[in-house]
Amino acid sequence: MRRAAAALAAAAALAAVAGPSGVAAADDGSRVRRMGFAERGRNLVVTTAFPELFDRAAIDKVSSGFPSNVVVRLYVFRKDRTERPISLVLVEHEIVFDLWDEVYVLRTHGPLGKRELRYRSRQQAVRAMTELDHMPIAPLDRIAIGPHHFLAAVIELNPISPELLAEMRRWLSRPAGESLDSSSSFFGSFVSVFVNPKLDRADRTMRIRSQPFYRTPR
Amino acid sequence: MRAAAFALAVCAALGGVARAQPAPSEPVEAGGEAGVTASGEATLEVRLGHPDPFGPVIVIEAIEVVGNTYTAERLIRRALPVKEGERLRAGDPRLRAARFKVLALGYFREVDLRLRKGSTRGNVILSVRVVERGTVVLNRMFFGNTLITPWWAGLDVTERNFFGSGIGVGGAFVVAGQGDADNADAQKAFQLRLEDPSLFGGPIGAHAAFHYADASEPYRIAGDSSDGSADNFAAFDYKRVGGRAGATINTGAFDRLTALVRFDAVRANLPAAPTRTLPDGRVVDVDLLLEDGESRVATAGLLFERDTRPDPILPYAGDHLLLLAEVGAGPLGSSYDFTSILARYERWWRIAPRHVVSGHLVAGAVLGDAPLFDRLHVGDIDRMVSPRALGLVVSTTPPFDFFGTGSDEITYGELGGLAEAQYAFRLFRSRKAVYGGDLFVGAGLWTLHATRDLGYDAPDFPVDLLLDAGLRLDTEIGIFELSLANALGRVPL
Repeated sequence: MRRAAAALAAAAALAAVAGPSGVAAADDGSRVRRMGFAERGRNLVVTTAFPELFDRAAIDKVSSGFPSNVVVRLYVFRKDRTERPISLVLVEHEIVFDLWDEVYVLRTHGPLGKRELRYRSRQQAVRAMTELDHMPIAPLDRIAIGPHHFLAAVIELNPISPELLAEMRRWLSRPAGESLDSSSSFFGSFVSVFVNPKLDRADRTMRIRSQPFYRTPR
Repeated sequence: MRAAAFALAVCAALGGVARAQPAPSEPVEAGGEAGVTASGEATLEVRLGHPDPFGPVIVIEAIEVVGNTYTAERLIRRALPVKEGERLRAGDPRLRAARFKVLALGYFREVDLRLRKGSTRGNVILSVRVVERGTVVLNRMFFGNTLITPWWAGLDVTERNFFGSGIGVGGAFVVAGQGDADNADAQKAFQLRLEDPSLFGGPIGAHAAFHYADASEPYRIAGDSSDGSADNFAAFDYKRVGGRAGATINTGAFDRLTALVRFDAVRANLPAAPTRTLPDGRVVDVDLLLEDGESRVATAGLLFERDTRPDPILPYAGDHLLLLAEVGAGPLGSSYDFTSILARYERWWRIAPRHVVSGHLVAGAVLGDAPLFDRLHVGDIDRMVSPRALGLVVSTTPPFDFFGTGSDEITYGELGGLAEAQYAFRLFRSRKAVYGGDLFVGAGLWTLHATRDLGYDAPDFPVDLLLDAGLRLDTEIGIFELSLANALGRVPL
C-alpha cells in the first residue's frame, strides 16, 4: 500500500514537471487533464472524473424514466509507441429512474464485474456515472518500469449502435425508386437540398487524456 | 479473482477489439465523429450489449403523442418498439432505442420521450413529444448550355411525408430549348414518383413511378469525332411514356434488395436512311438503336444495395455497393431482348485524422438489342461530359480524349467502366449551419466500348482520363458538391 502511494506520488511529481496542470489541449484535440494513478494488487488503477459530460438537459433526461448510459473506453499507451494501445478497458454505466420508488438504479459493467447500486439523489447518481474511482486500467506486468505512459479515454453519453445510426441515416440516401430512373442517376453523384438535422452517434462524446506517468521499481 | 477477471478482460480486449480501435493519433477531431470504425463499434456492442434488462418492471398503460400537427400519429406509434399493455423492465434496450426509431422516420427534428406514473403502481404512461421538420427534398437541379442545346432547365423534388401519411411523392421535369442540329426540336421530360418506405408498417417498402419523355435525339452525320458542333449532327424525335414499380426489403441493417418491373411505350420517328459521312469521305449507315414507329420495352430486374458508410455525405470509412440487373424479353411483352448489368463499388479509408482516400469502381454491360436509352451513354461514365437529364441527351460535346485512344468516337456503348481514386481533405466539422466540408481531388481511367457494328473501325476499349476536384458541403439545408467535372458538363466547350 505504501509502495502504491509512493508510485502515485512519483507519477504526480512527474506530471508536475513534464505535463501541463489542469486541462489543456493535446495535439490530437483531446483535452489533457490530471488523473490519479496507483498500483493496486496486480493492476494499475486510475481515479478521474468527467462531470461536464452531463449538461442540464442530459441531467434532466436521467429523470425521464428512460434509460441512459455512459460508455467509457480507456486506452493505455506507451508514450513512445502510440501506434497501438497496450491495454484497453471498457466500462459501461446504465441508469434508469424508478418512478414508483423514486430511486435511481445504476448498473455498471467493467473490469470489476457487474454491480447494481441505488441512489436517492440524482446528483449522486450522475456523479457515480462520471467518476472513475481506482478503476483498473491495465495489469502491472503490461506497464514497463521506467518509460512514460499516458491514458486516453473516449467517453460517450447514450451512444447508439452503427446499425441504428444506419437506420436513422437511411433517409439521407435516395429511396430505392429514385436511384433507378436512368443510368445517369445510377452512376451519378449525390446532391440534394432538404432540412438536414445533425445526427450524432452519441448525445455527447468526450476525449480526454492524462498527463504522462511512469512506474518506479518496487 | 477480480484481478484474474480483469486480466482476462484486458487480454480479450486487446486480442479482439484493440485492432479495430483507434490509435491515439487517429481518432480525435474536436466536434467530429468518433474515430472508431463501424466494425470496431459492432464488436463493442457485442461485448457490452447486455441481454438482461434491468430496473423495475413497468407496464405501458398508455402512449400519448404530442407535437405532430402534420404527421399521422399511427406512423409514430408504429415506429415505437413497445406497445400499450406491454410489460417490461425500465432499463429495457428497446426503450433506449425508441427515440432513435422515431427519429429514423425522418419526419422530425427532435424527439423527446418520457415516462410518468400511471393509474396504478408499476403502470407508466409513455409520452412522445416530437418537433416536425420540413420534408421537402430538392434532389437535383438541371440546367446548362452546350454547343447543341441553347439551354435546359429542370428540377427534381420529393415530399417525403405527403400530407403526413409517410408516403413520399416526388416529381421531376426537364425542358430543353430547340437545338441547332438539323431537324432538332425542343425536348421535355416529366416524372412522377410515389414511395411507401414501409407498407402497412412492415419490412417491405414499395415504389411506383410514371414517366414521359418527348426527346429529340442528336446523332452524328459528319465531322471529326472531336468536333461536337451542331453542324455535324441531325436529330430524330421519339416519345416514351411508361412506368415502373418495385418492392424493397431491408435484408439487413446495411443492405436492401429491390425487385422491379418497368414498361415503356415508345414511338420513334426515324429518318429513312440515316448516314454519317466519315472524315475520309466514306458514308456509313447509322444505327439509331430504336425501332421505327411503335415499340415497347418491358423489363424485370433486381437491385441490391449495401451501404456501410457511417457518414454517407462526407464519407471517411465503410463501403457502398450497388448491383442492378435488368432483363427485357419478348415473353414480358418487350420489343427489345436485352440484359443489362450495372455495378458500382466504392470504399473509403481514413489514412490520417483529416485525410481520406477512396476507390470507386463502376462497370456496366448491356447485352443484346437494348433501346438507346438503356445503353451506356458516355456521360454516365465520364463526369466531365454532360450527363443525360431524365434520359434526354442535351450535349454532343465529346470527351477530351487525353490519350488519343479514340474515346470520343463512341457515344453509346455496351461495355464500360471507370476506376477512380479520390483524396479528400476534411476542411472542417461544425455543429452550426454548415456541418462539414471536404475538399477533394480525384483521377480515374474510364472506357466505353461498342460491341455493335458501327460501320467503321471504331477503337476497342479506348481509355480516357477523368479528372475532378471540388468541394463537398454537408449543411442544414442539404448537401452540395461543387466540382470541376460538374461545371464542365454545363458549359459549351
